[in-house]
Amino acid sequence: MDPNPTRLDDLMLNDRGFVFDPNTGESYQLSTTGLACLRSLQHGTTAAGVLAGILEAQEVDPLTARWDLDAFFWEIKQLGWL
Amino acid sequence: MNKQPYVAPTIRRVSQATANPQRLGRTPVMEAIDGVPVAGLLGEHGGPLFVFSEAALRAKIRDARRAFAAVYPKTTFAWSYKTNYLNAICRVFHQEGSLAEVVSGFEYEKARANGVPGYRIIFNGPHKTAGELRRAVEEGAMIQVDNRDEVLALAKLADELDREIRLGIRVHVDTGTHAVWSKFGFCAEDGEALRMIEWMTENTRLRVRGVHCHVGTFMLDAGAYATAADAVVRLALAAAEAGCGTVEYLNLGGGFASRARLHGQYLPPEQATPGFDDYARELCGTIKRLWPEGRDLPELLLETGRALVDEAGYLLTKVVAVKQRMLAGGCPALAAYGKGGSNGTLAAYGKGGPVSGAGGNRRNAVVLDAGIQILYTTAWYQPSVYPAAAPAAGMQPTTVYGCLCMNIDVIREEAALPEMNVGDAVVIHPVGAYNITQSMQFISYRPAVVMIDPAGRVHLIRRREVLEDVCGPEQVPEYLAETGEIAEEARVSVT
Amino acid sequence: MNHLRIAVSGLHRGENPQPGSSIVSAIRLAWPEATVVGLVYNAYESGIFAGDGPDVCHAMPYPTAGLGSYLERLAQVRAAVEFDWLIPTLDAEIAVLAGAGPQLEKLGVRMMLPERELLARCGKAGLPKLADECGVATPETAVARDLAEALEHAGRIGYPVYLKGPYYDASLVSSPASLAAAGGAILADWGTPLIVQEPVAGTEFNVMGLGDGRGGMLGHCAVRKLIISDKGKGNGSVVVSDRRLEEITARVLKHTRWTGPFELEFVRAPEDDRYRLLEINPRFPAWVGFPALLGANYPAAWVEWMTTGKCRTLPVLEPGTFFLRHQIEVCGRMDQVSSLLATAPERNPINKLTNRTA
Repeated sequence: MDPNPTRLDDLMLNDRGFVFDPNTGESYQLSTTGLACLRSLQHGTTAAGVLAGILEAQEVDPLTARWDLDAFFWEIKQLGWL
Repeated sequence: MNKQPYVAPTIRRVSQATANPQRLGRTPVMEAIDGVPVAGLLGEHGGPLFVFSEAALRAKIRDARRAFAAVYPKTTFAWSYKTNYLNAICRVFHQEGSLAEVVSGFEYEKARANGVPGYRIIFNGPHKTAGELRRAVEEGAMIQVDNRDEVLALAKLADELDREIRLGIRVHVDTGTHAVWSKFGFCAEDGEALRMIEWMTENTRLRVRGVHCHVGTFMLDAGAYATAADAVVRLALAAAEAGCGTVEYLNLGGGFASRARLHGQYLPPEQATPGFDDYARELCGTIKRLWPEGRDLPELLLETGRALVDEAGYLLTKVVAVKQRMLAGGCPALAAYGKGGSNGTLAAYGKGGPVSGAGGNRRNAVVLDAGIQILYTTAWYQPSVYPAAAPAAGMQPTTVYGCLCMNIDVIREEAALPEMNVGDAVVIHPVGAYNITQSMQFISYRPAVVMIDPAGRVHLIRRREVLEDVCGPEQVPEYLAETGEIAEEARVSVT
Repeated sequence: MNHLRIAVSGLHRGENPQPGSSIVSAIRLAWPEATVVGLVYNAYESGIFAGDGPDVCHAMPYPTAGLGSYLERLAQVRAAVEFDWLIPTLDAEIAVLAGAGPQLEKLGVRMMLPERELLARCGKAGLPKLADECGVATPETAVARDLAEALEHAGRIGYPVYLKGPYYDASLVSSPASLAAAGGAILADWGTPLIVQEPVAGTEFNVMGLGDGRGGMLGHCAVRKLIISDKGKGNGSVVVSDRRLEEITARVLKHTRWTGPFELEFVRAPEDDRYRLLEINPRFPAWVGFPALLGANYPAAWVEWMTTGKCRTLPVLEPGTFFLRHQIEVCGRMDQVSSLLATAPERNPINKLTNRTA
């Protein structure tokens, strides 16, 4: 584990879904849903809550949404943000 | 509440090299072909589905005729069967006045079955059997003689039939820009072709009345035709000078480029592809300049195929899987502009950068329900891949895979596509040239082909293959007939 | 003239500088109030962040995406920020835009480029023929459609040879193996043709200027390279005055009836002291900022010529005056990069990045 992981709250992001990680100097682009998920996490929403948010707002079946969200969580975990 | 279309949560690393979401441009949506909705075509005929636009076919041949007639009225087009010999397609061209250009006994039979009389057939190619030659001679076809053995066979045939045979001689020319197609015919430049014409005149009852040269395929440089025409005209004049009679027609073959895009072609076709007017100017200008004044100009025959049919053909197919592809080191997207290109820093930062974990150096990928077994031309060309419905999200560089269980089945390494979902239809274009004739039945059935007539009516011109089409010619030896029992015995003996 | 609103591309000024930033600086010198729009191919082009850089920048599709994509994006950009003129500066985009004047005018944008036919004649593949028509020497040059042909040409010319792409990239290769490697890279990036050229050792000279489209020149400036980077770029040049060089330049301009900016690249070989024409570039060179600093503002003159049909006098620079390329740092913020990554151009392009603990 990185001894100095980036905290979710340190990430610099804007409404376009552009993210700058001040810890690594890397930049990322989130999809609109990715941005909404990250913001929800920053506000302390649980994984289940994030999923519920997607299902409520978008035309998608629960299993597909669950698969994609888990993949998204896995990716940001790899980045040390979770 | 009205729900929004779904956009998956994704994260992508922004590398310096890819810091331009506009770089691939925007791919337009193609919802309909000649006014017929793509969704409806797929619904009615299933997919994948080849679609041909009759209006586009007719517009192309008319444009080609107009361009040449304007500078050289004695021009006749011959439909190149091998480019696409679906009967409906051939008949459109024959209706438009095109002769048939065939390169085998099979194609000859097909042209005759399409109602083309022998004297309206140009018989080309390096392989014509004795029987095929005899039929062609008897029916008055324009045989383009390719090699010594064909000359000898025809000479004997002339003696046997006790008549003269008029034919064309195939020659090859060094245009200076492209590899010489020396597989075919005789060399026009070193005197070989002239010697052959003289030899035939002196020693046989063969009479050379045409000179045929096909410089190559997909000629983006119209100037190559000026060089070819120059050599062909000089040969024709030298033959007349040598007492071998008048050459009545010059056959400059085909090779005009369609609006397809070669792999590694930097400029898109709309900039790089010459028009019929450009080819006509180079070709006919040369003939008219060199032909002696006061002598009748020879007839000009053209066998262009690809440029007439390619853009009339579309392949409709659906996304069957959506993937993310990990790219090892660097991003090939740079090849489009930046790699080692004008932007110096790209080379410094973008090329061969490390793969940095999640979110980095990935590319969208889709798998379609059609593969390269029916898109043979993707070996040389990169067709456009259009979404068939308005996208919910912006364009992303996307790898387009075919459906074969083969790693080489890549239709486009990088196409600009919106985020696709399973079941979304896409249109691949242009695919009208060679894909039908060169497609193979491999792993799955070959798809149906429809043609949209100028009134917007859809006609099935080749049905989808069924098991009987594939297995019909097969025969199973009697001792393999009872597979079930043999399998049972084999299992017993293994255990 | 009215308030000038102009779009310029090619803003990177790193190791291998593009002309756009120099053009922007020159336009700012003439019209400090001008609206300058940067059309960029990458969010990290250094000129975006220069102090006298464009007022606003937008990302464009690569030229290889085609004219249709380019025009569509240009229309979007023009809806976000108005401009009347476009100066394309990169060879690859010039190849796409040549002949597109009428389509641009429909968008309310004007530019001036030589005709497509002339561009083809002065391109790398057509140069030997054109030079021959003008009575100017060129190094032995051959055009190849693939590696096999390139190897054949190189064998005939004799190694080492320069291997060039149609728009960009040149490598000196000294063996078939290195030719194959370099050629493969060029083909992957730029496609065909490959140009195989005899390297001529000698002193390098460049002449830039403006053609009036009638066979004459509005002005020109000839320099000799002083400092050459390991990539063969001139990082410093000195103004020269040589009647022969001027006469050759005038001959090429007259023969081609050149319209707009040009740069002719020559090499003068010591063994016969002849000038050989290496390339004709249908655009301003990256060093166009140098004469502008000394009062010979070619971009401004061109803008005047395009708008009014008349232009300022372009003074002849004193021989012995020179320039050196001096790299400096420019500063940016990730906010700006983010705005350039926006799919749709925005009128107010800064969207501040914030974290939750700040």
